[in-house]
Amino acid sequence: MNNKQKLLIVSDFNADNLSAYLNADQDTQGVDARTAPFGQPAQVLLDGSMACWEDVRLAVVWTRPEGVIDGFRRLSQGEPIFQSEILDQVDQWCVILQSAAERVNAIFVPLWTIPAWDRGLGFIDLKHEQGIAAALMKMNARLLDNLAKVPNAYPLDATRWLRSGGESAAAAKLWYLGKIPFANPVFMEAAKEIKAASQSLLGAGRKLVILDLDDTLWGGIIGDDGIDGVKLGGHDPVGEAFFDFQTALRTLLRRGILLAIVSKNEESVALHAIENHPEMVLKKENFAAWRINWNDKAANVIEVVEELNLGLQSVVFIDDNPAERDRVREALPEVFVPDWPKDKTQYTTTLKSLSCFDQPTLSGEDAARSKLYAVERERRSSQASVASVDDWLKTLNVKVTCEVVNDQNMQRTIQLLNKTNQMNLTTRRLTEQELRDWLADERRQLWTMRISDKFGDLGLTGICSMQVQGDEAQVVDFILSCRVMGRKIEEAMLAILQQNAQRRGVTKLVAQYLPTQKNNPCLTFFQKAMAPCPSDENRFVFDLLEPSTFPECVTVADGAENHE
Amino acid sequence: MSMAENIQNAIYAAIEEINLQRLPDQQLEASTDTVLAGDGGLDSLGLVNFVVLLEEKLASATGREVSLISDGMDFQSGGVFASVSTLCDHIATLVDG
Repeated sequence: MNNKQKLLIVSDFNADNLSAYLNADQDTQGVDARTAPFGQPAQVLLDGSMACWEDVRLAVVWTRPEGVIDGFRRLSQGEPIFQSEILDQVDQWCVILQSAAERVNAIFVPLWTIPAWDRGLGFIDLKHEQGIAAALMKMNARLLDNLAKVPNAYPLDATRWLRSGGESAAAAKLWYLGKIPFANPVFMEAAKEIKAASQSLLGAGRKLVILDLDDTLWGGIIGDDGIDGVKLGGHDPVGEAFFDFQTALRTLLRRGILLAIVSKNEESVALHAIENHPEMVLKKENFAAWRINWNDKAANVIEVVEELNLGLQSVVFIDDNPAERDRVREALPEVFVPDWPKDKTQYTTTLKSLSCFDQPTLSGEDAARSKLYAVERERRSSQASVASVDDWLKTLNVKVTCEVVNDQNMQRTIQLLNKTNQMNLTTRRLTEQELRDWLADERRQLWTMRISDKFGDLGLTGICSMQVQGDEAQVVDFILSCRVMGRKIEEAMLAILQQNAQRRGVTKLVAQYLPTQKNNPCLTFFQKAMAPCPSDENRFVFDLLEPSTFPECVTVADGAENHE
Repeated sequence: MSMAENIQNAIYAAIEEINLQRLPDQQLEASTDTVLAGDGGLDSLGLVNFVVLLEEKLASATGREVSLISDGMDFQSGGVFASVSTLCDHIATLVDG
């Protein structure tokens, strides 16, 4: 399936090289880029009727500061200008950006830069009121402040792209020949980041890092060298490099990326090292799952992914051994297997340069996710001690707290809406503003589900919505995080929808399943829960004259006493 | 390695980089017969990119600053950019001169 989103590049310079790099990428999840007529960014941004905006879902507005902020242009030519005047012009520019943001899913705004060779006022450039570097920093800070108020605007750090271009990043010859201000490495880096951002908005960011142990998390072979012989931390350059690599992985963990282990080792020996090596940054509870045995690594990766209810497309596999990387890359093409440096001191920089973990928002649930999975491991081990799944579910004391979407839970709602793939009826992707606009119609309602059980709070992990039309209520969103699937929470959500539809006085609840490559679990659930329509096997109907039934093993609470 | 080989390798390196921004069916071959400008070759923007890239590659391959842009140069009709081999010859003249 081709998921390419149409992307418009608006700039005051010739940005054809950027669109060329974006379009040359044959990834079906990439973007279909085009450039607006250059040199007239304000007109293009203000006039949504221009042909270049047709079907556009994403926009990049990349400008030179002197191209759109007249005060800065004059300042850079030595005219005395008050910074307040320049900042007023930045505010006006942001109003224009905001108007364009309203017609796309997301607008990317690279920060303004100046070429490294432009020394402005020399060493007093940052000290003097008329310094261009000082003015540019304040302009960018103002731009960030303004864009923070536009939920679907994403400022991008173009200074990093320029660093990739080295000394010739600002290419004078390209400018005079083609009105291209940057060298190609800058555009390549920009294309990489824009692609990662657009994929992330589609929920395609990677969610799990599966790691080898020997010579990956520590230096040496634990089975041969022993806990005192492996290199980790201490006064040793390689040991320090592994310590820093683990620290970088912990940073990912705090962003909500899960860690797991697939290693050819004796499990008891490896776990003993993880739990007892004094310099281990990552603790046993930081790993959501592990397979430490002598089996094929590709098979172990599949097992880990199944245990965590994730898809292979969520996985990054890191292993120092090129043969193991080849094996996983070949057997599981959906898994991202980055080339890994032989030089251990390069591990951290390689990890930090990966853009596959990008996500459009961060929430409290992200930071707590690994802990939730650790609790889940404990929960599953308790499953083994009870006779049946139903009996086990009863012992869990699952509680669903249902609440109408509101300002407090909006960010997490948007995140779930845009990230969840498996238990997702329609895979509808919306920006915050689009959801707010959709909810403005009183026939539409959306509820959030916060789940907890005897092991702890699992966070806001479900949403459902419906729209009343005539004598029926249509289920629009039915979304549940894979972390909590299969605990009758789906049944509780459906009963909540049925109950609310009954209160609205309609006679039928209808769910239309829209298939994707990943949401078959949702179809399976609806096939069991509701009657399929004879003329359409993906359409399910519930007669609301029947009473709605909540599962016995789930308690449903009203979060704000207002879910109807 | 002879100067002619250095020049040819620099051209091939520039072609390799320019291919990164071209679709699979538009890739240029690293061959002396490859048409650079005109029908089947690079458009004007592509040629601008190519020239700037090539000047960088030549500087590191030959250790000399070579300017491929001259007054009145006509990119569209081909000229020295007609093919890789004509360009090689032209650059050799510049380097010798």
